[in-house]
Amino acid sequence: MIQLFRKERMWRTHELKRSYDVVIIGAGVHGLATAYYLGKDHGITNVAVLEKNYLGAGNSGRNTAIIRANYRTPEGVPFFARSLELYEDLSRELEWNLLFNQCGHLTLAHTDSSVDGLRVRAETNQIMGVDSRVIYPEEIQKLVPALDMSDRPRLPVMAALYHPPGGIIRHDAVVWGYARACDRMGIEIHPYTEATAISIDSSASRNNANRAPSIDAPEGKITGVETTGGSVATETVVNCAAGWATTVSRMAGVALPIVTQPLQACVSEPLKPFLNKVIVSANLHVYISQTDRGDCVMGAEVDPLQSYSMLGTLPTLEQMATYTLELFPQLHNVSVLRQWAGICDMTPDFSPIIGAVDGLEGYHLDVGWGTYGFKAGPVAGKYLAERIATGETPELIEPFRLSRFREEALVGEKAAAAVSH
Amino acid sequence: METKSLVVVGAGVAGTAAAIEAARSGVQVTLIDENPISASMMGLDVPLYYGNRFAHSLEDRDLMLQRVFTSNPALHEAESAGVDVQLGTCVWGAFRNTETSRKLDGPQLGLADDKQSWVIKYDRLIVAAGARDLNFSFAGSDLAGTMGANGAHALLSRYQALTSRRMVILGAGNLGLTTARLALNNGIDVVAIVDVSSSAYGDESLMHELQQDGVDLYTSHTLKEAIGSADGIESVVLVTVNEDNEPVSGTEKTIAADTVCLAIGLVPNIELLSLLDCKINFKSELGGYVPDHDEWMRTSVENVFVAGDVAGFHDGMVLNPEIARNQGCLASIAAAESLGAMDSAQAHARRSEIQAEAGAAAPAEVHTYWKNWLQSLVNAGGLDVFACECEEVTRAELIDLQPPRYLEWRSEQMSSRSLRTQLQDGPVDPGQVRRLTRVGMGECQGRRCREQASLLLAAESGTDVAKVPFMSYRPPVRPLPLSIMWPHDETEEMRENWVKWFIPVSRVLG
Repeated sequence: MIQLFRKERMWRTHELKRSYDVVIIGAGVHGLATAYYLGKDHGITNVAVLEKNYLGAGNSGRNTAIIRANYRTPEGVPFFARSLELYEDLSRELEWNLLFNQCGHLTLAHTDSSVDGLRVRAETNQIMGVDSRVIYPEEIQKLVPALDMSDRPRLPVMAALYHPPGGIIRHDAVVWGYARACDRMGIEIHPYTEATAISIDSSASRNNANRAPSIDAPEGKITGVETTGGSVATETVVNCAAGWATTVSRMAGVALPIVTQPLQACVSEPLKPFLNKVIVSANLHVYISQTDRGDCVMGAEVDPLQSYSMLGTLPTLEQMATYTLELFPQLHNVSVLRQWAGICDMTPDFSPIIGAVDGLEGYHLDVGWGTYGFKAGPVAGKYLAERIATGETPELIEPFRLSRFREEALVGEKAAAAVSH
Repeated sequence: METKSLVVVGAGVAGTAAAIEAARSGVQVTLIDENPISASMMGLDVPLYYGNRFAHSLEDRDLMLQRVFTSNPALHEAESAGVDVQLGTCVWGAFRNTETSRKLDGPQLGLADDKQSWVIKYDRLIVAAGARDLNFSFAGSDLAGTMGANGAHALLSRYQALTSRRMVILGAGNLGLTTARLALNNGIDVVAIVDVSSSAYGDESLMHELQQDGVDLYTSHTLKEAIGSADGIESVVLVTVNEDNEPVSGTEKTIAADTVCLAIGLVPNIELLSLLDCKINFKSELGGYVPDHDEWMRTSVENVFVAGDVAGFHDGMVLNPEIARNQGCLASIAAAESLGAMDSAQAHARRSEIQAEAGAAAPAEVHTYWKNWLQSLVNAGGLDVFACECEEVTRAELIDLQPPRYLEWRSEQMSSRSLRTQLQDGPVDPGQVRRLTRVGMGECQGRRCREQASLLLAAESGTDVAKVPFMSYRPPVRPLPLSIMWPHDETEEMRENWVKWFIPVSRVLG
């Protein structure tokens, strides 16, 4: 019917080879970013990225696309700030317009204690060089004229944490941009190829025979990965499987302190532009932004129950509707078109787990991304790639090691990671 | 939460038959139907393709409620049989425990009327959600006056609110012919019935009657474009096509008309079954993706049954409502038996009566016919026609996998990307195409573009349309205003004192 003459490929398909230097499981933003920086920073291109679905079918295409760095802990703030920095330069670097709109990000406080919390966050942010400050109703109203600041809402807006460099990005484009850049370096992307087992040589001798046996993982060495496309030999495996992180990790015999919970969002029909800030209310458990198309994207808190379900539920939809209308009552006649969920790998301290694993040589984690993984894709990829290439753990990701849970060195990020995406 | 013994979704022929049959065998039945649909939802062409040719009377909800009730005598019969009939209530979601969610307190349905939403539980569910209109676009199809046959039927017989005066019907099957008959009976001029094939395939005597009444049949023709203004379609241009579905130049005829009614086919409304994770298969002869069911209309999911067009639609069913009615009864007997309202001997006896009445003509696959139509429309109207009207994505942009045009952005990199290149990355996945182009992401929730998109993807990639993966459905399967989703169980007092929930008790009590 129609003939086309397109030649250049975005990424090519390959036969799965029998051996790779590195095999990455999961081709979302984290897996692809890790592959990209392995190639770009360290010249390691004999890499396969395995994906059981199409590229970006998981959380990379299900999040609400918010980028920000106004976290709370001394470990988290510089980490996410670096990510924001990488995102700011990413369109140029990948030669790919990611439509990063740094429109500004407002976290609302509706109670005295929340205002206190925001003040602490603002202080921490400023000390660590992140542009973030507390503003009050008059300024909030100027920035967001559509926001209902009257006495009518059950929770009046008392203050907000204003984070000007925060914003929204086209999430799918980030995935494709990284994928294309990986392909250009010769890194292989294998969609529709599921990892089914990880092979380990338990008899492999360790560098340091005097070392006490690990309690994080079975002693041994990675030797390969079984996939639906055949088996592959490799000495390095990276787990970037998000909601399925524990399932993949079980293949390597590594237990993770992670549970999987869905996080829901919904989108409305398109409206004329009325909102050019990302609005978050931690008290009301909702966040709202308006896309270039005009749709309102609304997100909720994670589901209270563990599940791998990617469908929406009524209570969450009710909450999103209620709280959205609390902030923007003029939207009452706006229709919701779709509701969906991504499945989040939640850790107890709301911080990720990145790096190598004691005991099991060659196994690397980039998991536990909970509800804040998308905004950290570049930084996690870049520094995990450094860990893989050099064998040294970079300072920036060192606090997020797996062993922190038994060392009582948690990075409690809940104050700034929950809800306020 | 309320638990209903048997819920029937959809009060069409199959649904009412199921409800009445079950009520007579002593089952407590709740029959839910979303009609009357609000005028604003009709404006979005949800759930049928109404085409914005309707009267203001639609906004009078009480009048519409009355018309919905009186237009369907079976509803009265159902009420007399003791069925709890809930009109004006849509089912926008269906949830149950699966491998991925295990903590639901039994299977549930999300319901909404024009004011609020709520959830009910059920023991048995019969989905009789009918079928929606198949839409292929053409130049000018975004003008008011382009509608589907089911949409036209609903506006004519149920709402008496169709304002068309001169109608052109695409498709000379029974669907098109009965639409023409209904339109004529309601005083609408049917100026042409057009079909891309060389002969009408609908019932001969019906066609003959229509021709006697002055309706012109244009076989081996297609629609080149519809021309109009802000008021909608004013005329259409037809053109002859050859065996390769190519237009023959110089054969264009312009006909004055204000409505184009697409009666090429219908597509089963399987959204709820998809949400319930019922096994769904592609069966061309039944209109595409349809639920698997056994001879008693049981789906692959326990306690979920199907009946009527949703179980698969073919053109023969238009003239023979007995098929849908019998399916409704069979589903109902299976449900009643599993609820213990009937013993197996009774069920067996009743089934054999119904089977004797059933007699579905063996249907043929429809996608070749659909493909011919689409091919002729593409050949005559070109690629620069919206495939997805809501998101304004043209056929060319869909095939080239172009980013949405509202971004006003064309990049070198993206223009190197096309369906051909994606094909080499793996099978064409409508889920990914949807992300790339935004096809199917608009207000009609993909109802007007799914089949066209699948057929275009199949044609362009040289694969069989049956191999194009199923594009998933997401709740809510009706666009619902935020104010309806707002929970209504909160009292005024709770609301006023809401802020206190955030203040420690010690401070309140001093």
